[in-house]
Parts: sequence; structure tokens; C-alpha cells
Amino acid sequence: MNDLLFGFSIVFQPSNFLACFIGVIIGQVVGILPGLGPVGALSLLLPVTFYIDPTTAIIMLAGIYYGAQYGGTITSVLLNIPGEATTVVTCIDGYQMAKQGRAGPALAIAAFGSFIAGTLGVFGLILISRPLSNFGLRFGAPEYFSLVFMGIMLCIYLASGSTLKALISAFLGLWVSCIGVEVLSSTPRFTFGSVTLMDGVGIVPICMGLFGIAEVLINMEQAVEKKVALMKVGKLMPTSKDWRDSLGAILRGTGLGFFLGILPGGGAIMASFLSYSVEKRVSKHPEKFGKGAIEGVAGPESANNAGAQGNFIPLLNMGIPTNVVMALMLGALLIHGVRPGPFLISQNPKLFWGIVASMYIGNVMLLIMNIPLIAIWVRILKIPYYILFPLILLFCVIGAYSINTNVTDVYLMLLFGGLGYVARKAEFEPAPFVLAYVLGPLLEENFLMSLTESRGNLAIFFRSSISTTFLIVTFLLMISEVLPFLKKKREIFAKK
Amino acid sequence: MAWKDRLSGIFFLIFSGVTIYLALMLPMGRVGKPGPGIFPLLLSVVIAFLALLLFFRTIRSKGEFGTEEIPTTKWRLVYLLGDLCLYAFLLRPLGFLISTWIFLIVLKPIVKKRWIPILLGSLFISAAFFFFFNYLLKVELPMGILAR
Repeated sequence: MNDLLFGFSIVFQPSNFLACFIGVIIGQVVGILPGLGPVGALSLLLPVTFYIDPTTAIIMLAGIYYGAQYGGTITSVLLNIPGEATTVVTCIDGYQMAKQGRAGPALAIAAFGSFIAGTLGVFGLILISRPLSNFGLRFGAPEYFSLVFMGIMLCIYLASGSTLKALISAFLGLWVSCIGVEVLSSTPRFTFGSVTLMDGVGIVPICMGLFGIAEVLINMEQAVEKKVALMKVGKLMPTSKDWRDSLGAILRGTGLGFFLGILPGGGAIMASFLSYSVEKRVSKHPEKFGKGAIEGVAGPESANNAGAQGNFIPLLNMGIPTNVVMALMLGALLIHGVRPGPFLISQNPKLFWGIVASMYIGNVMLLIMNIPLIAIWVRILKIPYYILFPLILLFCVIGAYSINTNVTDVYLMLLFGGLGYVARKAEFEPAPFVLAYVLGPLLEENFLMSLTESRGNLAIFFRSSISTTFLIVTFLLMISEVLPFLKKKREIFAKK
Repeated sequence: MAWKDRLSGIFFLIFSGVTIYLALMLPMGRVGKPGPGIFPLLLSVVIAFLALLLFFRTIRSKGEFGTEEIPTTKWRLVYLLGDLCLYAFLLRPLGFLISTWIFLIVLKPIVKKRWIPILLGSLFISAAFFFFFNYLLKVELPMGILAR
């Protein structure tokens, strides 16, 4: 508990408090704007954070991530367009509620649910961090290799499209991570004599290209101007019956979201979908779902927020990002010379507890911003795309340029933008690529270190029960992908 | 979607061929002391294998060829990418302010507004971004010909 108080003392430093505030506002805005998600926003702001203190930087970036979970709800309910992938299920019942003139309670319960989930999530984070860090201390190179490998495979397994293509995407990401000077032997690889490539391809040009430029290119195909028909918000506060209906859903969603968030490869998207199907199953009136059931909004919205917080646990305590947003977060930490892992709590308590406490403060801010001020956020939806897209492009170019004040990074970003567009047309997902790219060096380093330790004997990966378990899980995942019987089941599950 | 997959399969097969060749030129080390070439080589071989799988999967599910949408040239895409390349090319020599202004003006056919709002709006956005990043966030932007 003292640790948390220490965290609060850090958040209430003016610069950190401001960073948290700016972060949640940006998160809220990008959550509302369709076509610009937290991944885009994080990669846009990554270069900007070079110039500030790492704790402040991460507080802001974290704020963007969970702020977006709140913002995405607004478009889902009022427009039936999910602002974020995590709020796709909210459209189902949220939009129906809006049609019945109950958009206000839908938005309010989502905000309250997210807040409750966020609060409980912070306590979960505190409870589980130390034991997990201690567990992580027992990890050697083979264990890390197996864990990272399992993380990548889980991300592939959960990818929405073809698994084969997700695999290709991930292995390409791993290959791209090889570009540059190899650390152990300082041999340049695939640099073709370019000085910029000696340091490897940066995460910022890759992410901005794949998620910023490519997104704009996709939108260019459609008409630039879109008319939006907004629903009225109406009366805001949920009735006491609404509360009774949704309290269980909020708590179940929180638990589900938090635990899925911890798992590698899982996260907020998965959590929201699963929560919806759980609510439908436990409900006494499953027929009400799809026709404006408030549980169908409360559960998934709580789950996505709890999941967003759970995601930080493996990142901060083990140094393993579980999804693309966390991969970017890791990139930001590494740029500042902070290496997350089992030692983070003891070596850098300021950073760790500062982030944890900032999540709580951020959730309070978001609750205040969302309940009384909802009308202001709705206006953002009226910004026309012809103003928006040049601004997004400018952010991308400035971001890519400013990492090394180098135009080569801008060209690299444009290249990845074009490739990202083609890849999306060919139905290759960018997420496994980026995750694998970030984890690549970690995977290779631990692979080579293990083999050096064992003098080339592959059996070292089965040395400990921890490593063996990870590899068996990975193996079972791959098997379940091949067997048609299980595959069918997974597809049914994914459709729900 | 068969033709897309077949094309992707062929593309990645060629790609992995090149990367295998490049990886083989790196030192492989020896047993007990793996070198920097091992990991990229392994990856390239896996990519080649996956690309083969993708390619042969399309052979089995034949019959859907030609009936699918054929990509038409989308002028806006090409135009936008061209403008972006021009922007990157001009960024250093002309400096941020002027090159950004030019970049935004060239967007005119996509934005579909009249000349006056385009010229003034673009100037305003360039200046605002320059002020915001250069002075508030202290990001070093190129001054170009204005630097004196």
C-alpha cells in the first residue's frame, strides 16, 4: 500500500499529472476518430517522448491506450461504427439502446463499468506484480526463448484472418528485426552499406507506415467526404434497474478482461468478445441481447478496460509485450534506456509505481470527462476527413523524421506504408509482424545464448519445467490449428 | 481470393530465396558457438516453407479464378504517395515550412476545395505545426533555405 502512495506522490508532480491528462485526452480523441487508433497515436507520439523523462513519457502513452477504450465506445453507441476494435461488440446492443433513446445510459454505464474495471485492475496489478517478478527471476535464456516464442505464436493463433498468413507475417517481422548490426558478434546484416540501416529499421517508421500511412491509403479508396447521422444522447444517468442488471456483468467482465490481458497474445479485443458471449450465456433473458440489453454494453466495456490494464503486467514484470500497443510501449521504454523485466520494481520503483498510480488517476479523469462532457466529444466526430488526413500524414512525417533527424526514415516509413497497404489488400495482418519484429532481438539473443550454453544441444529448451510447459502449450496451439475438428470449433468461437 | 494468395506465395518464395542467399553469406559459427547467420537462415527457410504451403493451397482450391475483383488503378493512392515522396525529397533543401506548404497545396485535387482556402489553410497548418513542434516540443525540424 505504501508503494501505491509513493506512486501517487509521483503522479501528482505537475509534469506527470499534465502528461496523464494529455494522454487520456489524446486517447479519448483517437478512440472517437475511426481510422486512427491507439497504435497510430502511440507511434505518432513516440518521437515526441524522446525529449521528456521516461516516467512522464510512459504515463502519457499508457493514458492514450486506456483512454482510447473509453473513446471508442462513443462512436459504437451513437453511430454504430466502432471507433476501436475493442468496442466492436458494443455496437450490437449499444446502438440498439441509442435507437430506443437510451444512448445516455449506455454511454454512462460503459464509463462507470470501465472505471470500476480500471480501479479493480490497478489492485490486481499491485497484487500480482511482485509474485510474477519473483517467478521471472527464475528465468534463464531458454525459458525466455520459450516464453517469447509462445507469445508470438499466441498472437498468431488469435489473429482474425488466415493463420498461415499470420505466420508469414510474423516470420517476416522476425527477419526485419535481423537487419542491422548483430549484437553478439557486431556483424552488419542486410544493411547493403546503408549507415541508417546499421542501427536496424526503427519501430517508428514501421508502425507509422503500417498503421498511419497505410490506413490513410485505405481510406483514400473511399469517398473523402462521409455524412454522419448522429443519434441523440438524451437522458444520461442509468436507472437503478440498469445498475442491477449490469453490476454482475461489470464484475465478470473485469475478471475476464484482466486475466486475458495478462496472457500473452490475449488482450482487450478478445476480452470484450468473450465477455459478450459469457453475458449472453448467463443471462436469464438471452433473447434481449441484440435488442438493447444493457449487460451487453456493460460487460464488454469493463472487460476491454481491465484487459488494457492487464496487458501492462507481462510487459513491466517480464519485459514481454503481449500485443502491438505493448510492443510500442516496450519500444518507448528501450529508447529511454529502461529495460522492463523482473528487476524493474526494485530498480526503478519510481517508474513502476508511477505508471500504476497514473492509471488510477487517469481513470478518474476519464470518468469526469465522459459523464458530464459527453456532448463535447461528440462534436469531434464532425471534423471532416479532408482536414483530418493531411494532419495525420504530417504527424507521420514529422515523427519519422525527428527520431534521427534523418530523411531516410521518412522514405522507410513511406515504403512500409505502401507495403502495409498492399499487405492489407492481400489480407495479411500487420499486428503479428510488428509484435514479432519487436520480440525478434529478444528471441534471437536468448536462442543463441541457450545454444552457446549447451554447446549446440537443443535439449536445453527442455531443461526446466517452465520452458517445457511453454513449448508444449505452443505445440498444442499449432496442433489445434492443423486438426480440422478443432479448427471448426475455433471458427465458431471466433464468430461469436 | 485465390489469385492474391498465389501471387503472395510466389512473391514470398522469391523473397525467401533472396534472403537465404544473403544469410548464407554471413558467418554461421560452429556447434557450440552459433554465428550471426544462423537465425536469419532459419527464418528464411521457414518463410520459404510457409510460402510453398500458401502457394499449394491455392492449387487445391482452383475454380475461383478470374471471377474476382481485379484491382483498378486508384489515382488518388498513387497521387498521394507521389506527393509524400516529393515532400520527403524537398524536406531538407527547402526546410519544413515551405515544403509542408507545398505538400498541402499539392493535395488540392484530393481535398477538392477552392484555391484561396487551400493556400491560406495550408499556410496556417504549416505554421502551426512548425510552431508547435519546433518551439513547444523542441523537435528539431529542418530550416532549409530559411536558415540564416
